[in-house]
Amino acid sequence: MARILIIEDTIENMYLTTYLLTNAGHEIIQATTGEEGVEKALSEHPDIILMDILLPGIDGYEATMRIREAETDKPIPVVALTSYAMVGDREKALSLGCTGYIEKPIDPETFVKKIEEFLKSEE
Amino acid sequence: MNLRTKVIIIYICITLMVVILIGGVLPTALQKQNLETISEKSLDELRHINFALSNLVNEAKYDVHELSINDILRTRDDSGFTTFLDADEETFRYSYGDTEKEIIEIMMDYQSTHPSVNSVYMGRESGTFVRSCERARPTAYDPRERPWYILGKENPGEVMVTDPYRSVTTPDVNIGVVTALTDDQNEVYGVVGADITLVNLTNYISKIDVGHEGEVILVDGNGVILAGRDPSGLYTNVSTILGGQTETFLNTEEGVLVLNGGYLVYYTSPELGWKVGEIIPFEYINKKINESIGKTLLFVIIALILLSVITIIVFSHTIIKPLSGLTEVSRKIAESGDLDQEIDTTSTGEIGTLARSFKAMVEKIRTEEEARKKAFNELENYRDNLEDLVAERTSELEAAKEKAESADRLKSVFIATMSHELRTPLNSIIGFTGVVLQEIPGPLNDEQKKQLGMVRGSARHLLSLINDIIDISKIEAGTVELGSGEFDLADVISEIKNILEENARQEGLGFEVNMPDTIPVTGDERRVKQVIMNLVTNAIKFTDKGSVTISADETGDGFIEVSVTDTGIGIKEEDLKQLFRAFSRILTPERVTGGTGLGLYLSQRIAEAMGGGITVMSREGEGSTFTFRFLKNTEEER
Repeated sequence: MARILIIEDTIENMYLTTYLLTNAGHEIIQATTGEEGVEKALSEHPDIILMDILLPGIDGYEATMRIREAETDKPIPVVALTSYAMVGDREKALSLGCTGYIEKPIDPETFVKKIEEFLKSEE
Repeated sequence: MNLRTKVIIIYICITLMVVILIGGVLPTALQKQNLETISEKSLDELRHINFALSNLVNEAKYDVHELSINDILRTRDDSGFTTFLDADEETFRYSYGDTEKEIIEIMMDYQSTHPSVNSVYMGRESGTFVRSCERARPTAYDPRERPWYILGKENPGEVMVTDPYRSVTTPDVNIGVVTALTDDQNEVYGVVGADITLVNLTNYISKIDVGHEGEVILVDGNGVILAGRDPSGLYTNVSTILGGQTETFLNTEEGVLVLNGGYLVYYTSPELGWKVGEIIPFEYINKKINESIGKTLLFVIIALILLSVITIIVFSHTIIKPLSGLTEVSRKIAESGDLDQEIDTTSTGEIGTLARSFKAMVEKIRTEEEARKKAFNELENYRDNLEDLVAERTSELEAAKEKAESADRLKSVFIATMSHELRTPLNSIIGFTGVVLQEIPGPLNDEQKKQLGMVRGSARHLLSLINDIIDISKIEAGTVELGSGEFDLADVISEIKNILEENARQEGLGFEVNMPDTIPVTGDERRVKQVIMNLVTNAIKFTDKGSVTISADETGDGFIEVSVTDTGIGIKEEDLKQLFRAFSRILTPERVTGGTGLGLYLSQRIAEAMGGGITVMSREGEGSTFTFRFLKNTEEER
């Protein structure tokens, strides 16, 4: 059982991700903007954060950097959800402090498994 | 060495040559001429002396004649006159009668008017002898035996001059001027005479100013020296001085003889028959010559100096100054390059021509220089213009580039946005379809599963289409970014085999792989995988029976080659060209399922980006071989 912060602006995707992870028995915290995500990350101390990159306001990279700058305890793992479109995204995400990287669109059959692997490697 | 110095040196040389020439040639020439001049002059003097001498003798002769016609002297009665016929030196005493006294007085008068006459005397046939002065010693003496008396007696009516004779009682040598006393019957009864001593004659001659240091000698017709500077030489024969030349001397009227110490210029007195000569020492002639040469040289040198000075001044004004001016102008031009120099062209002749030519040359150079400068300026202007033009074009190009780049950025942003925007709905379509198909919300019947499967398939096709379009637009924009990293191609191919072997088997095809255990590669693993996947997928798709074979290895020249060979339908030769075009579909419509028409095109582009390419060998109905060639290390290439 883990507490997972999902930062995602699209309702359908938020629902899908939340559905899949809740169905797998995890506790979900939701944020729809980068600012809100940073705020909740620092206040709620989730076990892992799923970070959409293209967000209204500050983007996922910026949000990740702010979390990294502000947090005092052990860093919270951040998994970036990026498009396949941009070749540099993966490298950029990792260099800015993201722990992992999942391409969108997600595969509902393997998604939960991947997240749980990140959680396991963090323990 | 400048021109002025050269001219001066030339003049010095000329002067030296002239001086040497004059010094060497002139003495010889002058000696002869000088001798002639001097002898001429000397002869004049000698004539002068002769004239004076003739005067002296003629006067004496005239006065002796006067005496001879004096009545008192002519007295026939000479019984009372002094006689030395039986005179005894010891006992003789002078005692004069009245007549004799009178005669002596007349004689004294005569003597006083003739300083060179030392005695006047008269001899008679009776042997008496009357004399103006007493004899030095009253020795026995017969006048009738004396040469003067004999000469006079033999030439009655004439005044005769005797040869020099020595006095009986004194050492004097005299010449006598004598004439006979004759009576009415022309009978000689006595001789009157006057003696001129040679010493007196010498004194007389030496009083005549001959104008130079020559020694005057007087020689009678027999060669006896009558007068000369050296008293000891008097009354000696001239042959003691002349030697072998005596004959010439005596037998010629006048001439010049060369003696030991000088020249003898001589002249024969037409009246007296005596020779008057002048000995001119060599030193005198040489002195004269030296004086002449000195004067000539002085004159020549002064003349040459004057000539030099005048020439140099003229030279300086007409040649050197204009030339110096030209030289100065040339120097200025050479040093400063300033062609605006004043050139004096007022000279005439060659220098003027030179100056004018020089001026014309400078003018020409200036004209050309100006033309050159003008051309240069034009060129420079043009160059500046060109720079401006280039700058303008560059800025235009930069602007265009900027525009293009900003267009590119816009395009990238558009692609990224579109990708996201399209994918976001696809994310939920594929995601929810998957969730439903997993029967998480609840069980589905078979028909529902089938139709939802079709939805998922279409969604996935749509996704791959989107992905391909994004890839192609990136490649065409030149913004393909290849990832890099080390990976083992053998692993990649094994993975592909795992994924697609099942598909092949479902189609009833064999699936083979020929490759080494490991093929280390540095590059973009995902792209390599994408290309091989594309080729193998195509091979499976277009092969009905037989097998698909993957072969991979290094080529040895830094490349990797992966070949995918099938035993499929093959490709017509005319279709091969179209094979790598975008959206090219050369196959029958029923074959198109699942294909975007972009796969080979994209793969080819990716292979090119990796430094290689994709080649195909195919025979219709027999199968095809696609060979993917790429650099083993794309890192190094970039």
